[in-house]
Amino acid sequence: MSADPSASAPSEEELRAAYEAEMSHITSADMVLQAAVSLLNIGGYRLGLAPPPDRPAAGAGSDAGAQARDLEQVRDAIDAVRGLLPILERRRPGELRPLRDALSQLQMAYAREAGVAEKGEDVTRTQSPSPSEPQSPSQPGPAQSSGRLWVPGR
Amino acid sequence: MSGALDLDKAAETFAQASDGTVGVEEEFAILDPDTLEMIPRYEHLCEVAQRDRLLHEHITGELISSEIEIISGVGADLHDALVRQRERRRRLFALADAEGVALAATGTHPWADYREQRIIDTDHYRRVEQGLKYVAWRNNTFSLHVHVGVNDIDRAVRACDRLRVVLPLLLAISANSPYLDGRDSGLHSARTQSFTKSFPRCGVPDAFGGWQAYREYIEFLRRTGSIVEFTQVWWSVRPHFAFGTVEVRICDAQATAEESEALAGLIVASIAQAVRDVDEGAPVFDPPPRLIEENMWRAIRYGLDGLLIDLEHGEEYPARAAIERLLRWTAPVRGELHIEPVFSELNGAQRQRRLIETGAAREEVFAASVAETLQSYPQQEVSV
Repeated sequence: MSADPSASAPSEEELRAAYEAEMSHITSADMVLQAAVSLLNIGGYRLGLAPPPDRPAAGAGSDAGAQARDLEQVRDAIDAVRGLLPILERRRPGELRPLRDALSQLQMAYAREAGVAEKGEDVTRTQSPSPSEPQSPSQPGPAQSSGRLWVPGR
Repeated sequence: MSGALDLDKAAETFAQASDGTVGVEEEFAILDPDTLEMIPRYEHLCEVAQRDRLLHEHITGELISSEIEIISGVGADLHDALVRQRERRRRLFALADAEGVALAATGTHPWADYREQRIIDTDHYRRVEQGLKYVAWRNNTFSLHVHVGVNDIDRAVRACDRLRVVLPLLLAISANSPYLDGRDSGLHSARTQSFTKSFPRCGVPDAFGGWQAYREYIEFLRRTGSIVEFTQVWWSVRPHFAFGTVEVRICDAQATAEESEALAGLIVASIAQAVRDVDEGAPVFDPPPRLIEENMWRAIRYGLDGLLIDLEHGEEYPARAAIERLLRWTAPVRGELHIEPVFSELNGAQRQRRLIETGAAREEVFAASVAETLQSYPQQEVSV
């Protein structure tokens, strides 16, 4: 890629030869591996956590970390690596373990971050109070207000 | 034999027990590190561990050969027990690594087939298998048990009574087993459905009111040939006759050591507070078992994502607030015992469920949980 504009441009023949020489050294599996590693790194970066990424108090992270945070990109990276894994299973079984571990860690970190952001909205049947006020209690749930629940002492 | 049924001796053990000693038991699945399948290596690990006396003395078997348990032994208090347990964990995980196996800490293995598991060869577990058959075979589960020493067996039984309503809350906080038999069960604690709800004399016990009634109950079981050792009484809270402790057995195994320690702290505080309430004659809240079962079901099904019922007031509250409620109730003893448990934002079942929601396959979800375990358990600092 070090084209010197003052030098005479290489001929199309020369370019093709150089390109083919390069292509002959690299395999698809190499590229897949490289892409997977890069995606895992990008995914980790886009969690927006100050390292180490697995501390309970994370989420706050550093300022730089907070700016990098983009959970959608993390999700993209995870899905992409998942897509690449079957190829690596075939072609690079010996190098799979650390990649799998890194993917597992990224997935769990994503689940923690995204899960905290959304906080289980699908399961509870009433709007659950925000996690920051866990005691904000005692609004009657649907079972009670509909009178279906027997209430001791009433 | 530790489980023999000498009730005078049990009372004597409690008479000599010191308040506040702590023991922790953690159970793990033994896995092939590549496939994450359960593999029967308990006997092998136990044999290799003979080179390490401390570890060997604190390893125990738990029903099947693909399961291994480490125990802290008697700690003077929670902190002492945790220091001991960290040392055991470090050695066990190093040994497992050297022997080419991985260890998992979820309440169930997601896809292991119970029909392929081998029951370990001990008197107790032979008896369990002979007595329970399918119910024993089905029980491929992993949990965290915590003991607290209680002087005087009558106090211990009465403390157990007070802990009945607490069990569902601890279960919800600990939930960490969405999968069973290769499928997403839709539950947060499939372990409880598979084990606690199927074993006899298991789950939330009746309130006994004191040692006399409990003793009559155990004598009845013995007289009628229902049990030959007290460890066949599997209630989720029970006085442990051989140790002189109150033991809480309701919780799923925890994916990370930090969670296991926070939960152990909360359990120790709960037992200690229950004993304190007995001593101070605090009013006993003793709802009918069917109401406690409502909370048990909610904990099994929804864990911390759901709502629990305040049984005293008949009102629902977000299950996450169970942590806050138990911390508030136990504040007096926690202050004295310096127990300040910190819980992660999402428990194990919630993290797994969030992964499932992103489309992760069960193998990936399990791999992510195992990665957490392998990262966390061996690396806890040994000094506090």
